Amino acid sequence: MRTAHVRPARRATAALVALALCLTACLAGMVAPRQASAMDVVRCTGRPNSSDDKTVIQGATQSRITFEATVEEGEGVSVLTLTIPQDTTFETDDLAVTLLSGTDLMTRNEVSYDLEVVGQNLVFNFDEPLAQAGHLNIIVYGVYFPQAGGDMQVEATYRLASGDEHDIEGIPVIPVQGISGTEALSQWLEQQPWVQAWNANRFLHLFFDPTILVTSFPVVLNGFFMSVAIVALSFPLAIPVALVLALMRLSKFVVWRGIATTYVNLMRGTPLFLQIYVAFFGLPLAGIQIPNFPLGVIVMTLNSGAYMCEIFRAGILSISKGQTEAARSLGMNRVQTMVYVILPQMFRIVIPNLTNEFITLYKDTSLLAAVGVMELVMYARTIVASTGSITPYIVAAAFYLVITLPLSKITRHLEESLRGGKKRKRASTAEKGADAQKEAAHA
Amino acid sequence: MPNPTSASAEPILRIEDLHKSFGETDVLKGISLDIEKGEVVVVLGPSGSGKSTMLRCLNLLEKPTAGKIFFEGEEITAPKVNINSVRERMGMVFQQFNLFPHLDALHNVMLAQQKVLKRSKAEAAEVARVQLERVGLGDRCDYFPGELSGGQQQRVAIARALAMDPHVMLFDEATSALDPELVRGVLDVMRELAQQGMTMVVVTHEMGFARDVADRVIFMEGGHIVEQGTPEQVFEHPKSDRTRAFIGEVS
Repeated sequence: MRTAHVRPARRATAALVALALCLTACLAGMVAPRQASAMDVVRCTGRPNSSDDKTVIQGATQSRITFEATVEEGEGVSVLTLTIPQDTTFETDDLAVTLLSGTDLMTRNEVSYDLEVVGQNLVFNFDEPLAQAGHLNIIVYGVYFPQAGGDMQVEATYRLASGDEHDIEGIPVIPVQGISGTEALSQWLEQQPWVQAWNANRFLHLFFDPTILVTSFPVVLNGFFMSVAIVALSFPLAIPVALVLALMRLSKFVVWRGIATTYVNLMRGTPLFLQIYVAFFGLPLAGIQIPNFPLGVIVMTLNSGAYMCEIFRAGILSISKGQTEAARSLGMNRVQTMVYVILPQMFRIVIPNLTNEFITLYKDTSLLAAVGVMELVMYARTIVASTGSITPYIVAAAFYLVITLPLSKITRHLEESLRGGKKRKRASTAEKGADAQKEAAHA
Repeated sequence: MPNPTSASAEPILRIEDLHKSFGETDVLKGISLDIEKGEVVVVLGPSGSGKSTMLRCLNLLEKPTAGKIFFEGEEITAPKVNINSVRERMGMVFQQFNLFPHLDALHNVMLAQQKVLKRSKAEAAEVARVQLERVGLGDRCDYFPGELSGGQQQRVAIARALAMDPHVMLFDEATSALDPELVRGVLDVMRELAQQGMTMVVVTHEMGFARDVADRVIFMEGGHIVEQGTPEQVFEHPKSDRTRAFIGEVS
């Protein structure tokens, strides 16, 4: 009975407390609208994730969002909805929700909640409405912003115990820098277990890091275009230079011969590297300003011209004297003989050597890196400098091989067909044999 | 048969005391010879006798050391003579054919016509077809030299020279590099050419051809003309022992 006796008294106390609570709640409800805003955003940031710049947040790269807002004393926030920007992915297994309180906000209070995820919305249903003043800090991990980047706007609304819903205004945007597809691929690769295993090997990591392989590819590709452009201009330009030199070297006039021979000996007798230095540092000192690219083309042309001159000269000398005699006996002059009889045959003979010269020239464009021409090696070198990996050089090597390997194969093929004296296939080859027999029978 | 002693028209080719030496070696030691228009002169002689050198002096592929050569009344050994215009009128056929290997038969015959005679492409092609037909190779126009037999190549070379409408044809051992069974075809072409009245100077070892076709046979040795006359005179009644020995040796 005692207990029965006591019960009403407790009930009364409970009712009193409830009444008091209700009153305060009502009071708070009346007071709240008068405040500027109940929850104010303190910060909303993404975690910088760029390996190049420590302040930059990149798209398609793992990051996290930290959202922090003030909570007023006794406000009673019961539900908070955080809206993550469109196309941004995130993980929800490992959220950190903390209420920082105390004067210096150093006291960490775990907040218990039920999480409901609706699309991009994270809905936190707090077990107890937040009554303590402080900063509510939420960290969302495993965030990937869109690859294209842009200004990411996080939105948040909250509901008070009273049922009133409010938006949190003035949330700052998170600026995200867009990245290329290969960067995204590289980021993705970095997460792959096999890549991590691969990179665990020091040698493979240094020379064949897949992540750097994919990021350096488009960059080094620029250098590839530059190198190809240089050689694509200087090689054809070197041909007339070399022809003139070759004809001068074969000339009867000692002056022409002397000039050409001196030039060829100088160019072939000194390193191309030195010639590049002289041109790139000497000319500006002499007051002649030529932009890098044309100057590079000029140097390569002049150097290659000397080597090609010797190829052409040997080619011309290899053509039998009978060809000249036949042409001259028909009344053709020297120039006509050269242009219509000797040179066409010469070009056919020198094609394998010319291809080799092309390969050499293409490889030698790398020397222009020393004077700052943005070609293959130069691009590779810049990435090597920033990553410390040798992989970009391997990528550059691949870009050289892409050109040189097929060309060497073609050269070998040409040499074989020249040596074999392959004849044109013709349907009437059999007829020719029959004809020879006829001729024989006739004799 | 023109008689060299008769006082007919001016000779088409006149050689006066022609000398040629290569360094210390005297190859031609004073050759004098008149060749009449339409005449077929066959030059015989052992190797090294200077036959080919003499022939090559005629179109100035070799520059004579001394002596004069007149062609159609013009002294071609004089300085400032346009050698090319002389050569236009003098066709030459080589032992090694010397066809242009990068051109097919038709274009071998067309090239000089277009570049030297400035004939149009169509005209040159037309002439080339006619000349190739003439040497029996009308069906080989698009063949490259490498695809033709030696005999066919030499016939293309003859067509190439003929296409220039030469006034004289020089044959420098035209059949010497050919397999024996291919010689006949080339000689047939040359014989036909002789019958059509072409002036020809032929250096050869083909005794049969000399006997049948030549108007005059010249026997050379050691840079001199040792003997000359009709085939009958030279072959049947050679005056010099050396000639007799050579003919006996060869035939």
